[in-house]
Amino acid sequence: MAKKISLKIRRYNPDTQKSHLEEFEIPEKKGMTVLDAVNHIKDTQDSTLAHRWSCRMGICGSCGTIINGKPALMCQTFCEGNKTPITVEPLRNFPVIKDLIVDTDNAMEHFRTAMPYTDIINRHASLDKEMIQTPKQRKKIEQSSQCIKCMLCYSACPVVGHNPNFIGPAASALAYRYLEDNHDEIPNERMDSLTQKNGVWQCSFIGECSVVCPKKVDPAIAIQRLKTMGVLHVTKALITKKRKK
Amino acid sequence: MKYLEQKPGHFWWTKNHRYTLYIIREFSAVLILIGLISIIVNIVWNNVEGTKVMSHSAIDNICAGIGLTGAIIHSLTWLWVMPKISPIPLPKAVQVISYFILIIGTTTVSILGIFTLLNK
Repeated sequence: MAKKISLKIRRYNPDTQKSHLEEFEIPEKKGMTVLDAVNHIKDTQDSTLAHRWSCRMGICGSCGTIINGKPALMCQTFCEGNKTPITVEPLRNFPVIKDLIVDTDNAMEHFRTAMPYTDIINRHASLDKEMIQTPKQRKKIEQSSQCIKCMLCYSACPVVGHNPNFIGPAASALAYRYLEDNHDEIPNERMDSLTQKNGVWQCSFIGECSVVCPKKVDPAIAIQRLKTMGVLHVTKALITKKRKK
Repeated sequence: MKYLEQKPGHFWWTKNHRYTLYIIREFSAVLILIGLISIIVNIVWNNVEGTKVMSHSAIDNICAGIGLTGAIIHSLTWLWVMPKISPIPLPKAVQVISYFILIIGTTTVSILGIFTLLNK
C-alpha cells in the first residue's frame, strides 16, 4: 500500500470571507516537493485550491508560502523530512486574495524607491563608448543581483508587518546592488530616496530576512551598509548645504 | 470580494528564537534604564540630604544588578552584530573569532579602567 502524507492548507474564500485549515491526504512519491503535493491536490481532489507557481526550480519566486511556520519556496521544499502534517499557509504581512495567493502590489511599489536603473541613457548624449565592467566589479554586485523578488524576506520581517510603508529588505538589497554598480550615474538621487522617513532607518537588524532568502542575497547586511552610506550622504549634504549658504 | 488582512499578533516575537533574541536585545535597554534611574535618584537624594556617600540599600543593589545585567546583554548582542556589519565582508569563522576578541578586549579595558579609578 502506497505511503500517504497529509497536508494542512490554509483556505480563504473572498466571497464568504471565511478562513480555515483544510487537511488533505495524498500518496507520497520519492522526491516530492510541497509544490508537487499542492499541484496533485488541485489536480485530483480540489480544483478550487488557488496558488501561484511557474518555473518549479527556484528561479521565478512565484511559489513563496509559509511551510510549517517558515517562509519558503514550495518548489524548493521537499515533503520528506518535514514535520507532518505539512502546514502550508499564505505569506505573512500581505493581504490574502484567495487561499495561498497574496497581494504583493504594495511591496512591489517599494522597488521604485530603490531606483533600480543606472540612468546611463539619460546621462550620456550618445552611447558610442563601451560601458566596461571588469570581473572584479561584477563580483561586487553578484550577491545582491541574485534576488528573485519572491517576497519571503518581506514575509519574515516584523518591521514590514507593523509598518507596510517600510521600504523592506528586497528593495534595499536592490538599491545596494545599483549603488555598488560601477555603471551607476545617480547615487545621490538614490540615497536621497533611501534616507527618507520609511527608508533604511526603520530596519532593526533582526536578520530574519537573510535567513529565509532562498538565494542567499543577505539583505540584512545590505541594509546595514546602506545605513552607513546614508549617514555619510546626509552628513555630506548638510556640510555642502552649509557651504552654499 | 474582500482581501484578508494579515497583521502580526501581539506575540509575534515568540514564533521564532531570532525574534525572541531581538526582543531580549531591545528589552535590555529598559533594564539599563532602571539601573540609571536608580543612580540618578541616588545622586539627587544625596544632594537633598547633603550626604556624600552613595546609598547601598537593598533596592539600590537590586536596581544596580538589573542595570548591569541589561548592560551585559546589550553589549554581548551588540558585539555579536558588529563583525557582521564590517565594511569588508568577513567569512563566518572570522566573524565568530572577532566576536570573542571583542568580548575579551572590551572586558579587559573595562577591568583596567575600574582598577585605575579605584587606585586613584
